[in-house]
Amino acid sequence: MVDLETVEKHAIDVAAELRGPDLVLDADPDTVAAHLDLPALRLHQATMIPPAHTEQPYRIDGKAVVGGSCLVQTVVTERLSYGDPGLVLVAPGPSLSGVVLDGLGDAAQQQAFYRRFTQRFTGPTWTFFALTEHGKGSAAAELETTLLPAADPGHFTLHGTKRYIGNGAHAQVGVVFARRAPGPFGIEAVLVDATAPGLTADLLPTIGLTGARIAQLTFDGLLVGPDMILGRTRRPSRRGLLGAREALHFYRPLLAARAIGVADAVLDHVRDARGWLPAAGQAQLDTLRARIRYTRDRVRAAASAVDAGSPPQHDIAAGKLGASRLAEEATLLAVELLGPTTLLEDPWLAKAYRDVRAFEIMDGVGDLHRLQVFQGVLRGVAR
Amino acid sequence: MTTALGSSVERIRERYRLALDTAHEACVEGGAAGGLVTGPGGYAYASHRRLAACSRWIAVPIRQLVAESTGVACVRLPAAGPEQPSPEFGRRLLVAHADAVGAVARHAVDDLAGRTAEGRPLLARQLVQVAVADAVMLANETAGIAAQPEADAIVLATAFHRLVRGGRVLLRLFGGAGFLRDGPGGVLVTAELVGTLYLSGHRDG
Ligand SMILES: Cc1cc2nc3c(=O)[nH]c(=O)nc-3n(C[C@H](O)[C@H](O)[C@H](O)COP(=O)(O)OP(=O)(O)OC[C@H]3O[C@@H](n4cnc5c(N)ncnc54)[C@H](O)[C@@H]3O)c2cc1C
Repeated sequence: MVDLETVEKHAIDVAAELRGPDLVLDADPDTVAAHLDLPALRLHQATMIPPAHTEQPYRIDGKAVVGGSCLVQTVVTERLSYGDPGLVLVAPGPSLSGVVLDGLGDAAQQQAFYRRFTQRFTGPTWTFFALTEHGKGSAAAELETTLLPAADPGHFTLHGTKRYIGNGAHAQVGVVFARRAPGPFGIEAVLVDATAPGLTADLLPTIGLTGARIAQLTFDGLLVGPDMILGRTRRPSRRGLLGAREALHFYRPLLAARAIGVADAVLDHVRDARGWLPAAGQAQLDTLRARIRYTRDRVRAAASAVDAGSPPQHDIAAGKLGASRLAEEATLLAVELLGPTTLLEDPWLAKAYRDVRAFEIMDGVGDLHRLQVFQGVLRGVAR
Repeated sequence: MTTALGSSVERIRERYRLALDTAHEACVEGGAAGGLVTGPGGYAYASHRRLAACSRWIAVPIRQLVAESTGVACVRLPAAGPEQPSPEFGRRLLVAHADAVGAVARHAVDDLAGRTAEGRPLLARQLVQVAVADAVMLANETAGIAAQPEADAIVLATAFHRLVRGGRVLLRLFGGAGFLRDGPGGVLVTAELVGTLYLSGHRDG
């Protein structure tokens, strides 16, 4: 098994190859298929697959990278996002759905799901995680997508609309959260085949992260069999929305890592483009660098705690919010320092400037993270 | 988003385009390239409509997807005017941007009144209310600064940077909808792009 330091160094090396494809992908998301053999994307996918489901591990100097760890994924995601956050988002792999499967799925469901990523000849598999509905993103317990009983006992049909779903426009499989009964425990997590009848995906015109093909998913009677309901033998309070919550706790350090990677890249970009800076500008840059180092340490500590089974929610919230704001501040400062025509003449920075605005919204808005930090203060656990 | 709210975003876009074109009309020097005020590098932003009317000039289109969904496009003109546009043009752009932020804040009130969490409209949350209030105060203050003859290019640039940050905080109130090109985010990003070209060239230090 390869150690974390080696994985990080390797991720830094392979991230360099993401520059170039990122801009092509931004202009035309369908070109993603041409880049799937990049080691960066293969490494990224390998870190997401738990050892029990790994057929052919990704090797660095002959040693296997072990998947499934939040810390390893956080480190790799940050370093690859230095190359490009869009490509990492758009890459095939289990992603958030995998985390839900790990938490809720039974052995047969997990096996069927992960087989898609390990069988070499089935081609790349994209996944989606469909929780948000318009105006219900932060109030997930009130979601309205519904499972209605079908003619066959134990079967349902799925109805409703999900919005802002990453990879929603081209994924083959995904987890959908839908209501079977009133109340928070009436929500189920359902693994659906996106090619089945009853699902329409419409691409949404986003400001940035175009490669991620954010979509609206409309379910109109998609048939759900009992084997598609994740954790169906558990008590209602131990499945459904719990799976979404746990997956998001796992995923937030990764999202923070993405923002840190871009912020870091933007500051290096300014250094390379400008060389010398006036003292005030240099001081602003140095301050952002110091904040990046601090946030990186905090986020990695939180990821380790997630691996240890005790996710510190207020720390995760603080890390995710701090990192997304850093990425925005870095791009704003870069544009101020590089001059008024930068956004027209520097396509890489122009893309980062648009992309980073998503980070604070994705995975729960900033205000709710601030409130979570406050809860930590109340409980006397927030530093 | 309901149709009524969608049309309110279109009104904000239309007002912004009109203010941008009026600024060109008022400030362009006689015989200037294409009837447009150019910024550094000979770039210019104007509405599709105005650009179409100025087509006898050889203008190279510069692809700007977000601005284009607001009905604004960017071109580069070979025969460019002065590197820095007149302060009057800057003032007008700043007022147009502030006006858009104020209008988006009012749009947020309508939007959030119809969205609920835990049985209450989002608009009933104090965090939401203060965010709207902050945005409106910032918009008014910025327009007030732009109206002062003493405000030089550096003051206008600083006011623009504050407005950009305030506009982004405001957009967060829309959640995911704030990241869509055809929503209120589209017009505020367009105002950022336009202001970056014409207003942000002045920096102290
Ligand atoms: C690029 C991108 C990718 C995404 N990918 C996915 C995906 O793959 N899957 C998925 O399911 N979702 C995805 N999302 C959706 C994202 O998770 C939601 O947009 C986010 O959780 C916010 O939900 P909302 O848009 O409904 O906003 P809302 O919940 O309506 O929030 C809007 C505003 O209301 C206020 N507010 C809301 N609740 C409260 C409260 N309780 N107290 C105080 N203020 C409150 C806040 O100020 C907030 O900013 C994505 C979004 C983006 C932008």
